[in-house]
Amino acid sequence: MGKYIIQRVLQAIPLVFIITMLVFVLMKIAGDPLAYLAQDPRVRPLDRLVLRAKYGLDDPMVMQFIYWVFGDEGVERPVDVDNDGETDFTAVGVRRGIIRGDFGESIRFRKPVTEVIGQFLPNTLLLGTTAFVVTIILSLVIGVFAALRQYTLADNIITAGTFITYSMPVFLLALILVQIFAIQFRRWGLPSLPVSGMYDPRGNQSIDELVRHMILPVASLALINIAGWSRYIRATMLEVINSDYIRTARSKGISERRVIFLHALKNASLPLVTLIGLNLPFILSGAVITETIFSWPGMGYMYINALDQFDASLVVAFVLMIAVAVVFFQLLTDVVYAWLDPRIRYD
Amino acid sequence: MATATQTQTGVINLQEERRQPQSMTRIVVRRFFAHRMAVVGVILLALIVLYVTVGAFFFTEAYANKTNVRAKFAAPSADYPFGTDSVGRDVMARTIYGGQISLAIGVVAMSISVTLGTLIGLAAGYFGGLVDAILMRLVEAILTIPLLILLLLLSRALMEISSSTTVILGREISVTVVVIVIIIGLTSWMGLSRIVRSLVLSLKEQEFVVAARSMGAGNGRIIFGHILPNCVAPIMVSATLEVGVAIVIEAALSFLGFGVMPPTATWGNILNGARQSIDDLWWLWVAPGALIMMTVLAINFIGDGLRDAFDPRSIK
Repeated sequence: MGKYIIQRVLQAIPLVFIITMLVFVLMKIAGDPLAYLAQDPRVRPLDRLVLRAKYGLDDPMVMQFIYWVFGDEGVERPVDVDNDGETDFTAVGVRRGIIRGDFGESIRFRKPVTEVIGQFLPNTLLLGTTAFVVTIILSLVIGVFAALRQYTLADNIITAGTFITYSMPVFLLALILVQIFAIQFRRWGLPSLPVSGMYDPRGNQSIDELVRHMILPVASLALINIAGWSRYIRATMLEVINSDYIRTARSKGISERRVIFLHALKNASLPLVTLIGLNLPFILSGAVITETIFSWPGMGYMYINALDQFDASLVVAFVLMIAVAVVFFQLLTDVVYAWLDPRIRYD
Repeated sequence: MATATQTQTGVINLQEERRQPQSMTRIVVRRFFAHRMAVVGVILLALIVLYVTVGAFFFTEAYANKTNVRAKFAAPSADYPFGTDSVGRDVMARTIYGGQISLAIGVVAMSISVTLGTLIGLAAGYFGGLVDAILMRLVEAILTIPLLILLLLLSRALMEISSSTTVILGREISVTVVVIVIIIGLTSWMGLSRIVRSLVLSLKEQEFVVAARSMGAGNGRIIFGHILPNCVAPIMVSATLEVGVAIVIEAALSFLGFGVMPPTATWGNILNGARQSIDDLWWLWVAPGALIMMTVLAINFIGDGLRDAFDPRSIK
């Protein structure tokens, strides 16, 4: 087992390196990080030269990549302002490199990027984890129920429902929920649900208020996922129910409830481990569309705004963080799966 | 000879039919049309295509893009069956012309991604070794970044140079359409390349490939003449489903304001108007939303039908 873990970690290292390079290339394609200064009349051309030197924007690409990853503390870059061949100024690099957690500063928040992410991450985790738990519970219930009643009316209705929800873009579902539970409910004089932010503008920021604001975004996130997941659970459950060891268990006279919930569900939930493990990191990225529709101040909402204002270091840190999280969770999932399922050989 | 057997007696005719080998294409087509949901999908998709093509005879594109501030946010009426948007454009006319663009984006983006996915999968599987290692690590690396997040970044990076229009097939279209098609195509080939690669890995060891090589066939001939035809089934299924994925992705990008820019309409950017206000303006999103959903549903049904039709295990 220890050998297997080491082997998987060694496989992940080149992958993380390629991802870092890919993100760097994306950052370079995205353009000049100092472009925003061009619109600022207070910034003199001299200042721009100094800043360019400070961030090493005129270094060769390979060196820029190395400095970005490992830092450029103490690297001196001479600046020749008047092009007379003499050095007028020497800029000294101060970056510590992403490897030591220095992703630079957000131009909009004027704070280190890691701090900005730390500010939005809890909101996303709250929304994402709640939706995730709701998704797992409901898709287990629906999937197992449909599998036990295969081809009955109830199963067919569930199948049709999941197919329609599955083909629905998440923004359409969110808009429908808003229309029904916010707009129509208010019109009918029923208690309507809020559609924007985490708290009421003049509210008391209570738990109750937070929960009411969470209902619609959680519902839109969960419903879309339940459609796909319950199909998956139904399929694995059917496969297990029709296998030999379940027939053996039944023939021994074990109660049906025990067979289903102890023998069948336990085996059917193995593939679920993979599904959960591979989807966990995407909680971090936040739901860009859902958070935007409901103005939920999470990572997805932050990302859209950072792109709008071209807050390059924030964008890059966000993308890199998710990619590394995905690699980490893939590794974790493989290890957990190998540990849970003794049939998997890891040599 | 079909005509000859028809003139003979029934018994002989039956035997003839049984002896006659059916081509793969005929078997697939027969199985596909025996699949009830697939037929529903074909009909639904045909109706949508009919709507966006025949509808164009009732409205001109200039009308679909014409703003009329005095008639903004008009609710559905006899004049405007689907109402008007924030600048008074006719939503029905826009769903017709927007539908043409959305469907075109789906098909062209699919062509790019299927071509890339097939070529990369063939190369990785056939040549193996270092080529395979590099290409597959690249696939893994791209797949670690969620698709929407990657596309939003690319769209933001490339859009600045493209706030103009260009003429394609005699129509004036926003350059953003071209950018969106290319970036969707460039970011959605990874799944197919993995499928093709694993198929090629098993195909290249089979006797017919060894035979072809021993007869002196070059790599190009083996890959495109012998291996590729055996990969058609998964490629066609992926291609079908990819059209739906590309349409939804375009709609999501446009909805967020990172997609196709007005005046050119797409189903996605009509929906963008609905994002601006949370007032009761349901007609801004019901029609384009329903069209997107029906298209994707139809494409998913067709994809499912194709998958079953190609599957040798599902003999009906």
